[in-house]
Amino acid sequence: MPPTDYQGSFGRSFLSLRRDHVHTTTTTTTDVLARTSSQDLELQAFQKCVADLFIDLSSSSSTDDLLSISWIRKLLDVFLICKEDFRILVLSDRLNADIPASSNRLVLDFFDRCVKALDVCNAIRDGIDQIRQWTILIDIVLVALRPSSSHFALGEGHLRRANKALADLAISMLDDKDSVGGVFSHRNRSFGRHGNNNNIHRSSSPATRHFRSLSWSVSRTWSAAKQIQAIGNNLVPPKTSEIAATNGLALPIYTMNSVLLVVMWVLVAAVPCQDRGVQHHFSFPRNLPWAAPVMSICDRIMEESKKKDRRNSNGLLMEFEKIERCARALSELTELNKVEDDKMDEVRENVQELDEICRAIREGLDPLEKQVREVFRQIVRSRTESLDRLLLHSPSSSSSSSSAGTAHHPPPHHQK
Amino acid sequence: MLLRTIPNLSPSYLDHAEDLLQRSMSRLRSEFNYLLCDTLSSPAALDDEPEDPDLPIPVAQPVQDFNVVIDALPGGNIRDLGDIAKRMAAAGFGQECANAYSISRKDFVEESVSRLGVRVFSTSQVQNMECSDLDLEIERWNQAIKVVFHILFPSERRLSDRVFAGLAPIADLGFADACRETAVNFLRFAAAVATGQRVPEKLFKVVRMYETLKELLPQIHVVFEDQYCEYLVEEYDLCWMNLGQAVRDIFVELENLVKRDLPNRPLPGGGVHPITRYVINYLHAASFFWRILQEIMEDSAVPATSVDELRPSSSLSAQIGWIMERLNQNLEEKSRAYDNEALSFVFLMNNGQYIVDKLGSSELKMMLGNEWIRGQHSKIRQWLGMYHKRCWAKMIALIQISSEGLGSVLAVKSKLKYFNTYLQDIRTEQKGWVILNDQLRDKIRSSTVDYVIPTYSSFLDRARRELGRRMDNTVKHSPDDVEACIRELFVVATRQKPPR
Repeated sequence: MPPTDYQGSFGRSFLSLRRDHVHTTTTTTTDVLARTSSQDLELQAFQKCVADLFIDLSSSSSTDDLLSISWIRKLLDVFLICKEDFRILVLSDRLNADIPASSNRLVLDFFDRCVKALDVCNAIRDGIDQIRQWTILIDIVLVALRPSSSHFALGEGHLRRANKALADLAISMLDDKDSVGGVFSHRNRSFGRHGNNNNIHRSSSPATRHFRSLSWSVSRTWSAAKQIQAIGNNLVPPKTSEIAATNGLALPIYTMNSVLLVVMWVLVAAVPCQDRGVQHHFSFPRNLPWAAPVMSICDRIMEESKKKDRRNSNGLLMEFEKIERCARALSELTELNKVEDDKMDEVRENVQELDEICRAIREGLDPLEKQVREVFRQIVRSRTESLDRLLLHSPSSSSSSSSAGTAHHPPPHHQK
Repeated sequence: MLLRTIPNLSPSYLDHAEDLLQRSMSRLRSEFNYLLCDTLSSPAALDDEPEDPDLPIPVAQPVQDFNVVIDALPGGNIRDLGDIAKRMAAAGFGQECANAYSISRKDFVEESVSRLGVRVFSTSQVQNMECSDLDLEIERWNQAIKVVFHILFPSERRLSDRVFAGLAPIADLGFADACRETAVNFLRFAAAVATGQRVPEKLFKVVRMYETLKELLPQIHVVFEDQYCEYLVEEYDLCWMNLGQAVRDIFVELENLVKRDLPNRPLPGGGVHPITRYVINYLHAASFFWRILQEIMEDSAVPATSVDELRPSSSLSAQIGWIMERLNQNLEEKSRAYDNEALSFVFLMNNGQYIVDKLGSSELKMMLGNEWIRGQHSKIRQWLGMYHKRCWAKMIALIQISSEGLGSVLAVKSKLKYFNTYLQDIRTEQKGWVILNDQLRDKIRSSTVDYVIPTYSSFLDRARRELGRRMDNTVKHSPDDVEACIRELFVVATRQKPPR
């Protein structure tokens, strides 16, 4: 099916699009939905709910807001609501009463994507932890460069201290976590033009780092970008026949899969994690009411990632851009361990701004992490609770879908 | 800062002093780093330990046979580090201090953990792991987490408390940053196992993980009590609960497995079906953990997994009783697949007896209760009765003397002829049939003898009495012959060993 690309050219608002959809859509998928039964109404309500949530998110986010920590939190809220509605829908008696065995493959496929999303959540939490480390370094910069009284000048000692913290911050922000080769190759990098490598040293010995990287850390081959590809793998809209064969269940599962993919993709785009990647081709059937707002969000994020100063960043979180800008400025201002009097105001301004961002990050980070944990928990919950029922309720047929190991045949003489 | 509290100091002096302080702090930081790194490259640090008898290097209470020696910092270094930390904290360099400390200790912790042979896997990796590999990794995890939570983390906690004595927040931060990731990785592995496939084979491993986390529970609350680690405790509890849920789900899965085991080709000879062996051996093995299983089952506040409203309760014995119920139902379904009804009862008897035999005096028996066992025995008796009915009743009917008497010589002769044919048929038909339990076999034979022989004897007696010598050539089998014939039934084929 064609993606939603050219919809914008008609100049219609998302809302009008949605209205059109509800009343006049003509495509096959909705034909199936047009059957009027309470079950179908429930299925339709779910599509509409997802659409409404993304329309709100898309229309309420200004350029300043997009990809900020608070925006990411809104996105996760949207995800959690969708997830809960999906759970209720799947558990609803009406639907549950006659789940056809043909949905098994879909459910197993959904589980599979969920498990992959769990790894993304873990990686994101590591990324949040890393951001927390940055704020500690930023704190040091702030303490060193913030004169407490007017007569107080910035001595060489202060500047050295700030420079050291800025250099550590530069390494930390530019490095992929635990990528050993990276640590060494980037050692000499800093925000400044020439770098301050004389100050940069990490306490750990290369041997230890190497040892560690081989074992007790996330596998080096793990890649957030590949994980996103895997979640989106073979994600195709259900055919009319498939929707009919599954009592309509195929559509909400497709919707939930898509929401999962998009949310995980945004997280990986925004937060530092191992082998990030923003490139992904999204395509959703435009007759689905949520497709347009979701695509609009994806497009905006994609555009953001193509901006010159964001291309090499460690995450698209809006706050990072500001940190990098301030840190770079401060690094340049202080690199000679001497600040001219006429530059003092500039230092002060940057310190001020850095302070504000740092405070905002710190306030947002804990709730964000809690939310990511909640997302993880909810995904696990659906895996172990609600959808398992679908499999349980469909007898014998699951033996054909051994991929999830549900049909395990006992060994004839086990533990004799 | 410190200097600014001095009154009446001229600004230029103040600036100079401040600058000097900053420079000296920078030196101190280097020294602090050096002292920390120094020990990393010389792990024989324990030799220096007696230097400081007041504060022995913490090596947590010995856990089973874990003979692990921790490379702690020499006492002298700790003193120096403490002195530096105090000065740096006083000058507002606490964060740098904690940062330097945690980077160094984190490397040490991670190196130590990787020496224990555990590796970090993603959730997807854990889920796709071969069963044997997963077993191995779970075993390693089980060993390693105990060492880490009993020895390594408490040692690190005390080390940070000593280096940052009197500087609690810095001590907490240093410890948290050094250990958090390692703790998280351990929990993630458990979480990945808990969310994985619910295959019955995993039960024992998951139960062991559950037990381990339970055992470490008090330790966690001590080691991770500060503000930076609080959430780890929560995470830990959640992980532990998820493992319990996984155990409960595995039981449901076992039940489903029984439900889904469809009767395809009937087992020749009516012997013990693989599903019976599997379920009983499985439950038998599971019953070794019955205490912990009981605890896990009763722990489920929400009976979320019970898909059937008829399930009586969430307790372990109810759960096991339920599975046995399913098994019996399943066996009865399977028995219907036999063309010969008598054989289907042989099949049921074999399986029913196998279940009773395997229970022996195990915990499993205790959990099912005497009433259940009695019920099972009475089922076997019923099946035996049905076997007689389906197999021998026709013969008995033939030779039963009706109120009208024996009938003509011809009728008697024809009855005996049919009797002999039936007997021959039974012998041929039941050649491959087995009864695996010796006692049950004897019982079936004796009861069959009791069922058949008296009628046959009295028929022959009466026939001889009434028809005299005319019977001589007709009686092919004496009652003893028939009994011998019955006692030859169910000879166990040597291939199949009787159950223990």
